[in-house]
Amino acid sequence: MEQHNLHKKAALEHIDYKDIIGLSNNINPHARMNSRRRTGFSAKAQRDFARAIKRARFMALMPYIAR
Amino acid sequence: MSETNMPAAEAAVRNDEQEIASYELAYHILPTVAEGEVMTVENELKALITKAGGEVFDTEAAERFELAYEIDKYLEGRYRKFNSAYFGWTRFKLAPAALTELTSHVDEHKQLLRFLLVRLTKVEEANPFKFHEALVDTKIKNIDLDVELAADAEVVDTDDIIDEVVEEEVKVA
Repeated sequence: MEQHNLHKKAALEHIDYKDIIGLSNNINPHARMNSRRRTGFSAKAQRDFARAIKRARFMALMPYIAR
Repeated sequence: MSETNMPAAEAAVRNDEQEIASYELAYHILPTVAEGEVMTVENELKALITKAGGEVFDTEAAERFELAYEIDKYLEGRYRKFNSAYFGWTRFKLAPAALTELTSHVDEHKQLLRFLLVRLTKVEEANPFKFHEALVDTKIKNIDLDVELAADAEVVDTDDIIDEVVEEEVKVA
């Protein structure tokens, strides 16, 4: 339930690609995005999250892969 | 590993629109630029935006950032590898029709390692995210941990005092 509220709040304030600390909460050690089952995001928030990660990767703020 | 072109959704230009939209230009300035001259490069970018008819309304000054992966840039006849750059961004209002021209001008800028041009939603426009400030906040948290460690060290001192007191009591007994 707590997580549910968290992502609602995040979606309200939008997920920014520059927020690398917030984004890194939802990636695994290989730097892959977590699935909706793990993130608990709504469909819309998950799309925003995916877009933010891809932008951050392009700008080298986050890695494409990590070992 | 890295892609050299902007993500397709970002690169797509909708020329049919007439209404002025808000955009964010995020950029990496080459680390070979001297610390004091980063500002001039940023001002050049802002000049490009205003020249294209844009209106700058928000900005974050570029600061040094260690990149997540190595970026190759073709400079003076060969590829050079960069591990860090000055990252900053500028937000501006611009007519979508002028975007193609602006993108090509920014692309030609020689002191840029990479840039990203993003169209802002209304929520994004209302809530600007300061990249370097957010990173500094985490660093301050680390310093707080050190203070806690110092507090632990003081606790050890009191333990010593207690030991002394106990020893004295033992002597008295």
